[in-house]
Formats: sequence, C-alpha cells, structure tokens
Amino acid sequence: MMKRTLYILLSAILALSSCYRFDPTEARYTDGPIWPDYMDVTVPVGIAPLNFCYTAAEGPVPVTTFTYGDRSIAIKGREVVWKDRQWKNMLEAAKGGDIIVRSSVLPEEWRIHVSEDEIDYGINYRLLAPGYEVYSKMGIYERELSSYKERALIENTQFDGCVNCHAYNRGNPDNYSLHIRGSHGATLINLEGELEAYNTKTDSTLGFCVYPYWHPDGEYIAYSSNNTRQGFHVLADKLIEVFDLDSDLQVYDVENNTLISSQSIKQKNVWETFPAFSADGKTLYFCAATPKSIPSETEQIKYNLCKVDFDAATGTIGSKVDTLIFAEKMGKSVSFPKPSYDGRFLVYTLSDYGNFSIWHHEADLWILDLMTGESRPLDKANSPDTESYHGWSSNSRWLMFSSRRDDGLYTRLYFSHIDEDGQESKPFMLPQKHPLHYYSYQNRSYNVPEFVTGPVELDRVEAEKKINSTERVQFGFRMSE
Amino acid sequence: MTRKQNIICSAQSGIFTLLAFAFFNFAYPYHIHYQEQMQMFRFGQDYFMESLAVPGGFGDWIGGFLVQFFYYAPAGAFILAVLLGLIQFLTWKNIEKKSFAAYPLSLLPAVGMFLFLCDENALVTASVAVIASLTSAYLLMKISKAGLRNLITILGMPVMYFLFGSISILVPVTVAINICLRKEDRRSVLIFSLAALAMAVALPLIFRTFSPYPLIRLVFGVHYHRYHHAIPLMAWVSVLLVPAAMLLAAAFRKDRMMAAGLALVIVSAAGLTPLFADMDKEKLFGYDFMARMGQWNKILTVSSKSAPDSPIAVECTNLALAKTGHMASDMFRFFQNGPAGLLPEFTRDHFSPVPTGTVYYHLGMVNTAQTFFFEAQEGAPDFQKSARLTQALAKTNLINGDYEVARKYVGALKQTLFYRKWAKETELLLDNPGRINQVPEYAWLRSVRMKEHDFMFSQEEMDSMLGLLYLENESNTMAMDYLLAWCLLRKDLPRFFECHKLLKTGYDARHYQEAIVLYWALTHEGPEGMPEFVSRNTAAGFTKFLTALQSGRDEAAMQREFGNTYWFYYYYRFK
Repeated sequence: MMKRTLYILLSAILALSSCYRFDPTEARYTDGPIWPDYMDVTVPVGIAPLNFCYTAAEGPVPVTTFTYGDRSIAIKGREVVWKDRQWKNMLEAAKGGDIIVRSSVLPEEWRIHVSEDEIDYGINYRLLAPGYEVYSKMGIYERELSSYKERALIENTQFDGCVNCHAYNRGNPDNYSLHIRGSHGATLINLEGELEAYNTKTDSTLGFCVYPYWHPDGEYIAYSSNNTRQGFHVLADKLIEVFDLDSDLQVYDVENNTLISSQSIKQKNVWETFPAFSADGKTLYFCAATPKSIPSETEQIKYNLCKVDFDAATGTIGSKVDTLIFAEKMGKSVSFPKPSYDGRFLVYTLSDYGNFSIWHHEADLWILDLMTGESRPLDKANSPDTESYHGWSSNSRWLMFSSRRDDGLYTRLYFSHIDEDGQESKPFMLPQKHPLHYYSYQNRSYNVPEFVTGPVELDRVEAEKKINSTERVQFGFRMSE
Repeated sequence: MTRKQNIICSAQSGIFTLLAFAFFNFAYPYHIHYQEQMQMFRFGQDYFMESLAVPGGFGDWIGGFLVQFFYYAPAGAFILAVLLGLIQFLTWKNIEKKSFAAYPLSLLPAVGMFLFLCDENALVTASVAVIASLTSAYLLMKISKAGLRNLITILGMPVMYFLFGSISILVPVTVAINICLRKEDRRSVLIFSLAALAMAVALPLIFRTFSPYPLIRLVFGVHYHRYHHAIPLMAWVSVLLVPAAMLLAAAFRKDRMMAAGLALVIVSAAGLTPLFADMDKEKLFGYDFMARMGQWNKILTVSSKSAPDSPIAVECTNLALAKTGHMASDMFRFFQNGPAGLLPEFTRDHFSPVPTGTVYYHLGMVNTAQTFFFEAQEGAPDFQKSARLTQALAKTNLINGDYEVARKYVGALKQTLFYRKWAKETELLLDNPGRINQVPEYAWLRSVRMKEHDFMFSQEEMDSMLGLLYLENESNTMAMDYLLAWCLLRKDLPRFFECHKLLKTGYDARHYQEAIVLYWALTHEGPEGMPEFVSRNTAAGFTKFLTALQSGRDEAAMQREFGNTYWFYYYYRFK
C-alpha cells in the first residue's frame, strides 16, 4: 500500500514537473535561420559549446555538420546540442582555423573561427530584473566560460538590500570591491583573502563610492560618488531616464584607507563619473559633463571623455584635465570608458545624451585607438538596439558587453574578439545548454559583467555577517597635493 | 470508543472543516484572491528545480500548486479547509493515547494553523509541511522494529528538512513522544532524542553553507511567511500544539473531559479569530479585486453601503465612478481624501501600486501603468513573480509594441493553469501583430495613449499630463474627468476653470456646476457673467450652503446637509 502510494505520488510529481523538451516557438528573437546567431563568429578555444536552434518550427528536421580537416560531426535536430567532449576536441583541433558548418536545410554554409587567443576562466555579473526602484531577488553570480556552470557568490536573500557595483583588478579574483545598497549599505573590499566592510561616505564626498576601478598595482581604487535620480517617459519607445544631479570622483588609497580627491576631478560646475585607470596606471580616464537643468534639459546632458594624470608613488592627482573625446560636439555622450590592459585601446559607449546608456536604444560601443587618437564605432559588434556596459579579458583580446538586441529589455552578454589592430569580430552570445529555453525564461538581466581569471573565493556566510553587522571601517579623506 | 462517540468525533471534524470553508469562502474570499495573485505557479522542470533548490522548496512547490486554484475563491476555501481538516485528522492519528475525551485536542493544531492562515502573508507551505511531517511520523510509527524506525527517522530528518523545511522537526518530536508514551526502552529513547536534537541543531547550520539564507530563516523556515524577516509565530504555535495535544491526550482519559477539550477549542477559535482576521485588509483586497475584474457597479454598491476610508478604496471608487461616467456628478457623494485618493504617489511595496497601475492603465498612461505593475511585482517580499502582474505586463508591452518582451511573459503564463488560455490567445496576436487592434481593449488604449508629447512622469505635474493626454485624443474623456477631479481635489479652482473650458460635452455636471459657482463667488463680486449652464438650483443650493456656513453650524450638521457637495469638501476636507 505504502509503495503504491509512493509510486503514485512520484508519478504525479514527474508528470507535473515534466522534463525539458525543445520548443522552437518559445521566442522569436530573430528573423534569421538560427538563434543565437553563431554564424561566422570568432570563438576562443576554452568556450562552452555554442548550442543553438533553428528558428523554423516546421519542415524537414535539419542535420548540421561541423567539419574541420578530416574531423566531421553531424548533429540532427532543430536544436543543436553538442556533447562537451566532442566540442572541446573540435575546438582544440581547429585552433587558429575555421570550422565549416553546413546545414541540410540552409543553402549557405557558415564558419566558426577558432581564435588562438585564450579567454579568461569566467565572468561575474549581477542578475536582476530590469526594474526601476524596487528590486526582487538579485545577486552576484559567477559563470565558468568553459562550461554552463553558474554559481551564486552572494544574493540579497542573505540581507536586506541590493548588491551593486563589483570590480576586480584585471580579473584577479582575490582583489575585489563590492558595494551593497540599502539599510545594510557597505562596500566590501577583499584584499588577498581579507574581507572588510567599509563606510565609503565621508563628510567631504557626495555620497557612497560607486563605479570602482582598480589601479593596476592594486594599491588604489578609483570611485565616483553620484547623486542619481530617475524619471519615466510616457512615449512607447522610451521608458526610463536615469541621470545624475551631481557627481564627483575620488581615488581610494588602499594602504592608508583614505580617499584622495582634487579640484580637477571634483569641480563644482562639472559632473565627473565612470573613472578608469590606464594600463600603466599613470592616467585616470573619466566622463565629464556640464550640469544642466533636469528634467527640462535632460537631453542636453553630454558627457565627454576626459583624462587626468595620476602619480601612484605619491597618490597625486594631476591638475590639468584633457578632453579625449569631445562628444558634446558630436551631439553625443560618452559612458563607461574601459581601456584595454595592453594600453592600446579604449572602448566606450556612445549614446545621444546622459550616462545611463542601458536605457538608450541608440547606445553603441566605440573604440578609441590610444596610439593614434582615432575613434570609430565597433560596427560588427553593435546592433540596432542597446549596447552598454563592457569589459576586457585580461589579455585584452576579448571584449564582453551587454546588449539588448534580442528583445529590447532583458540584457544579455556578448563576446567579440578584438585583434591587435582593434578590429572586432562578429560577437557571440554567452552560450547556454538550451539557449532558447534558458533565455526565454530568464527573467533577470545580466548587469555589470566582469571577467575573472579564476574562481572568486567569497565566503558567503562571512560576507553576510559583515553586511548584517553595523561595524564599518570608515574611509578617510584628503585632497591631493 | 463507542459508535456514538465515533459519530460525535467525526461531527466535530466535519463541523470544523465546514466552518473553515465557510469562513474563507464567505468572510475572507478576497484574501484568497490576494494569495493567488502573489505567485505564478508554473508547470515545468525549471520552476520545479528552482523551487527545490531551497530547503523546504518541495513543500513550497506543493503549496504553490494548491494556491494556483485560489483563482476561484471557493476552490481556495475548499483547499484550505481540506488542509486544516487533514492537520486535525493526522494529529489524531498520531495521538498514541486515543480516547473520546482527547478527540477535541486534535483540533488544536488545526485551529492554530487556521489563525496563521488569516494572515494574508502566511503561506500554505507551512500547512503542507505539517501534513507531510505528521504523515511521515504516522507511517514511521507503523514500523514495528524500534531500532529500524528510530534510525530511519534520524536519517530521514535531512531529507524531510530539505523537502519541507524546519517544520519537519515535527517528525522526530512526534515519534519521540509516542515512543515515550509506549514506554519503550528508556535508553534507546534517550539515544534517539539526543540524536534527533543534534540533527535538528546541525541541519540549519549545514544547510547554511549551501543556501543563501540567514541562519534564523533556516531555523524558522524560508517559505512559511511571505516576509523574509518575519518569524511565522502562529505556524510554530500550531506545530507546538501537536506535541501539546499528544501529551494532553494522555491526561484526557475520562469521557466527561471531552466537553472541556471542546470548550477549549471553541473558545480559542472563536475568541482569537477576530484578533487574527483582518477585515480591513479584506475590504482593501476586495476593492482591488473588483477593480481588476472591472466590477464597477459592485464597487459603487460597496462604497455606498460603507464609505471608503482608505486611499486604495477611494482610488478604486473614483475609478469606478469614472468608468461608469459618474465622476463629475457623484464623486463627492463618496468620501474623498484629497488627490491621493485619485492618483496616489508610488510607494515601494507589492500591493498599493497595483490598483494605482490599474487606474493609469485605464487612463491610457501605459508606461506609467507598466512601471507600477513591474515595481509591484518586484516588490514581492518573497521574490515570487505574480501571474496577474505578468499578465498585466504582457498587455502593456503588447500595447507598446514590445512584442518579444510580451512574448516572454506570455511564455511564462502558458505554463500556468488558469492564465494559459489567455496566453495562447495572446500569442496568436503576437504572431500576427496586425490583429492586435482588433481587440477593443488594446485598440482603445493604443488610440488614447500619448503619442506626440514626451515628458517625464511627475506627480507634481499631473494636471499637465492629464491635459496633454486629453488633448492628444479628445475621446479619452476619462483623462478629462481625472484632470478636473484632480484640480477639484487639490482645490485649484482657477486651474479647474481653465481646464473646464476644454470640455465640449458634460460641462454642466453637478460637481462642475458646484465648483464654478464657488469659484465665481470667490473671484467675482456678483453672479454676472457666470456660465449659463449653472442651474438655479445649484446657485440656490450654494446660497443655502453659504448661509449655513456663516451661521457657524458645526461640521457634522453641515455634512448631513451638504456632505455630498463639492462645497463641503472644499471647506471641510483635505485641509
């Protein structure tokens, strides 16, 4: 009797929680024949299998054949799902070459170029619903790039608040800065395994420190403090505008627990934001705009790309601000400047106005050649919809960026190869085992993606204790000489 | 027990279950709808695995499965009554020393759970966990070999904890009490109890390393209450009442003690229900439900019987007035609490933005409605998605032309039981966007929504927004109703007078006449030039009002005579 009851119960549960079956009608992200569009992309050897599906729900069942030299693998089905080992072997063999892909239902073949440039161990990102003021479940997650494994580093189920800006020093998982907002607000800084909670707000700064960027020698972190607000549009194609009412920059001296600022990056009539150190650490890049009246002049807020000298030996910020990209003249606005770690390029986001480019459909990625001063859009990487936050792999050969190209709201991650001359490849989407199903039901956006060179060791229980306690180490403050 | 005693006992269970059903179905139906709209149970592997990833997640999954039927209040009331009946039945089954007198004691845990379920944020998961635990304990006690039974109980604790959460502590507690009452070997009882205690302490600590929840939640349960930081006290009282009933049963042996046990149950249930049942919230949920279902006349009937006194009730009443075309003539027949009762400001919670979003939706302010719906959904304290709000978001995205986002929401709704049909119909529209305008609701909202003037939503500039909304499409008379009501509620008569000139029809509505005659009196020395549509009756009424006002009559008397006029609102409300 008991066995029978258990059997019935288990059968009912299995029936109710029916297993995954591919359904090509789950989404219509593209008019193209396959999704994600992995045609003619460039991939690193260590990437998880690029499974994809055919968008046609009817017609003959496709057979997709992947060929490199004398290796050939044929996969039958509307969803192409690789076996891990076969994919890895194929990529290893094809390193530096092209895998040719033929489909029984498509007239044209395509290629997957396997780059010799490696990609980092993984990525970290925040997952949260693309909302406005209120936040539901969110957290910082780590994804291994060679597989589909994702794990939560910290989630807001552990405390009352939201996890925010997180940054690593060139992807070093042992050094990071992580900001928590809400009633338990704090900045967690991990230095070689030592985790501490800080109060980054001082009497001399605008507010908490956000948008962190590590100095290459690990002794400084550049932050901005922003007085951020948001407004809501009423027209159909626009939803929200996020803007600063004020912002300043400061550099945190890790050893002396002191914020350093200077007149050059804390100007009364300038809004400075998004700091980023150059590869050699001698320059601090940032965005700066002339304050405008909000909301009437919101569309006149144009951020230029600027730079100022920084002397790491003395912790001195230069007094002269240079403008690298005078976006105002173009009628545009710069956000998220990210120099490559080899010092050659700088990628930034260009939108019509403001600095919160994720809500701007027109926002695109641009690349600045720091040697020649030439700047151009990354046309192969961009789409008609939003491209916004981005980051470099530690070898400066891969650019990861967030894009809303698929449905216009839920941000997803794409990777583009950038060669020595700054030429980008067609980007590929962060692979998933069953991408159409996964992304159709993923109701959170990828936010602030960062490369990491190894797994981040974050003791969740210790972090929770630190966040939930009231003890905070207070940042000091001094003006630069 | 004798046959007669058996019948009496069964009658007690039956009456309790029936009363529980009657309470939830007739007195508390909107709480049931509220529960349903706070979740989106989806069939499918993803949702199942997501649920299972948290200690107690399986119980939560079963709870969610049951709550989806709350879409229909009688079904919800039936399910709750059955759950409570099961708790009573299983408590009785686990009582080792059964007697006629002890039977009413088995009702105590169910009464405790009933009181817990009166809280709108109490989750059904707790009841499921109690039922699962009592069932397990009962089956374990069927194992005749004591050592084997004790071993299975201890080893089963992590499994039960994983499946149903910390309430599963009931299993070893129930087993321990029963083996004590059976007077089994004292040494083995002691060893079992110590092992169970050690396991009970260790489990939350061990699970803490896997689950991103604070220790206190792993101890008191992750899914028993919607609010993360709330300890579900009454659920635990219900749990504690199980061993209490088992132990008391050993003392209640004489038949005449049955009456005492029954009296205890009746007094506690009848005495405590008014303390635990929140009828004010029931009213609020009722207003929200009626607004959701478009039961405009029912709202007005309810508001006529009992004056709406909360912002949400007033807001829904005003919406009903506008939808039935009575706003300009009847809104001051109902209590008004200022502009907040028309279009309240956004608040960061999971409920109040919903009716406000509904108002904006009907007004054609689709983006604003979408923001309110989205934020309400994100504000759910237990991080659940809401089927109702997901449906609302699918609609707003569809109206806005964001078809892929709408499809995402529709895809999720297709996995539900009661929203599936709507989702499949909507999917057909998404496949053929040209047919969207054939649906009158979407066609209307697309026609009245803002298309030319972009601006930032601002509560302070509500009148400008409503004005532009009307000017972009003059068939949106509701926008004009709201604009004029907004001016009246803010007592901004010059602005009212200015906006009123835009009206081509309905300009002589009762409250508009009252406002104009008042405005004229405040800004002119005589009635000369006053618009002709102001009737003699209105002018005479105002004269009477002024006379009464100047004679120093108290507010109550003024309200009796003039409480349904704008003049009374102007002089006595929203000061």
